[in-house]
Amino acid sequence: MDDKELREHLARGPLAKNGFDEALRRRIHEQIDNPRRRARRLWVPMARLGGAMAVLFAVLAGAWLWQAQSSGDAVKENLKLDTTTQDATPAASAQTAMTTEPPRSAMLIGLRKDIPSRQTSTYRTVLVTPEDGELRVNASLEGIYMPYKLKFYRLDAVGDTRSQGSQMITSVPAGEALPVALATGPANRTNEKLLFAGNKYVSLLQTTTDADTGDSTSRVWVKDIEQLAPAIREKSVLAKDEPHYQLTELVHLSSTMSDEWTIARDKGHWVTKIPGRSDTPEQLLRNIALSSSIGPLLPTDVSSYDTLWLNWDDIRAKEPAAIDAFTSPTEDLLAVQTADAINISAYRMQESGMKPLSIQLEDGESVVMVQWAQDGYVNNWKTMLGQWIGTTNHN
Amino acid sequence: MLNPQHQFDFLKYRVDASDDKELLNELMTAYGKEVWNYAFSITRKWDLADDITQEVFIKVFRNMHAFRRDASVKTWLLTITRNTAIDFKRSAFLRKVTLMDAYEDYGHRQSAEKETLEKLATNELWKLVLKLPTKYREVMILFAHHQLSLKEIAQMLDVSEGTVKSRMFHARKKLATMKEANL
Repeated sequence: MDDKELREHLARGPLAKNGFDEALRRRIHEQIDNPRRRARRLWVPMARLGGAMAVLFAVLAGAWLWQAQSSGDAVKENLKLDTTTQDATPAASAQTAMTTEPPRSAMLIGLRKDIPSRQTSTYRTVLVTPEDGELRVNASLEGIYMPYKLKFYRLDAVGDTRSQGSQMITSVPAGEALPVALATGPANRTNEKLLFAGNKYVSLLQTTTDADTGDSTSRVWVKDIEQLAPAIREKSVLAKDEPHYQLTELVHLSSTMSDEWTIARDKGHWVTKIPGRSDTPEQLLRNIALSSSIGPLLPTDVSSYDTLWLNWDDIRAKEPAAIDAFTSPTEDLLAVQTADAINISAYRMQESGMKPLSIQLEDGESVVMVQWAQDGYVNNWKTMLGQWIGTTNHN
Repeated sequence: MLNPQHQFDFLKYRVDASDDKELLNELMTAYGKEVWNYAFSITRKWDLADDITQEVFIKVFRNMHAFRRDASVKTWLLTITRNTAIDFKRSAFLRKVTLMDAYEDYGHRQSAEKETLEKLATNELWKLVLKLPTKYREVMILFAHHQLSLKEIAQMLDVSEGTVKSRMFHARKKLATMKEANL
């Protein structure tokens, strides 16, 4: 069969039925129509003008380049651009136009500190607010304080009534007492780490160890906050039947079904990962870090806000050691994580106008939650969280 | 082959379109079928082709500024499709939990997919092409269905033109053998 015949026979698609139909087109639009994730929200009016000029310039330059160059390295270049630009939502330099207006947002950071020698973790929550020309730690609390509906829930690790060395994550409405320990069965020891806390959903790494053989298995779950209530946790640990959400219940993917998936940080975004199981939590944490993300962006009910307004070049220009970054919904605060600190600044202001803040990270500490309050809610959060400062886990 | 018309169309739309969504819509109208067909040709699975296509256009929407004006829109989209399919495959290999899909499937799902192919394949040649090993199937489909030049295929796959020619040669040879066996 010569080239012509081959091309004639294979000119039509592989299937008689058209795979790209209106339903799929609608599905793609639905994924993109999430207004809080749309790149175009970046464009303030001045940036729009600047952007239009940039596009016009690019068109003229591009047309010239197209004529002048062969297409030799085009695809390779595209690949490079494709991978690098996915790191962050694109942002033009016009978007970082300076201002004297103080930030309108407060940042709530949840941190987990792993203590490998004991297979346990501790948690803390830090509220950062702009106050009197500087960014300040307004509240620092033991445990994770997660906003849910109109109140906060406190999540923390608690032991087991048999003192087997278990550590499970449970939660109660903030202000209520967490149990000192959960009742567990004699057969297994359970150790858990919080991987992600959103506005409703959380992700856990759970390691169960057979009390007799010492064999252990680590796996991940996505649950909602109500499934972490002490009574439900006790029941599920005893029954070895964890209530959880399957991947397809929360993420629009029709090809992949998995009970064991997690939400993890990757290149400036919260993403979906299926890391499988491992023998140890350390190995599974490594697998999570190394595995590729799958599927579309997380829906807003899973990760309510997750936009990075600056691109990585701008972020690394500010902090060459950056490994992750977060920006506020009001596009005024930037938090850059390095190996040992989270550096927060009002990136549109001169340092003299708003003094930045550096929160030191301890060894083994990582970010499991970032939430933002805006305008009037900043004071609400300060008041609400302020009343629990100094509260220890179980009182 | 590179199509200058696509080039200008894209640039025209990039300027004319009132927003990126409109441009995305134009791209989906023009290339949605090609992207899906390529994703299906790689994976041979309907659901997976849907998911990959979805991800490709979301990536395109988020990265429209990254399009190089000296490239063809089609090869740009096909390259993103291929990379996305590889990402899906990589994550499928990495996970050790039960999946509905891994590319080389087994059991009843494989039977169901064979049945789909038998029923829905456009013609006998497509049935045979879809049975080719990945590296031969890929060049054959890019050449004959997507009508790319050997040079474009080589660039897309990041191999030499000689390798593409060699794979085309072996693909044809395998197709001939399969055809004879079917007679």
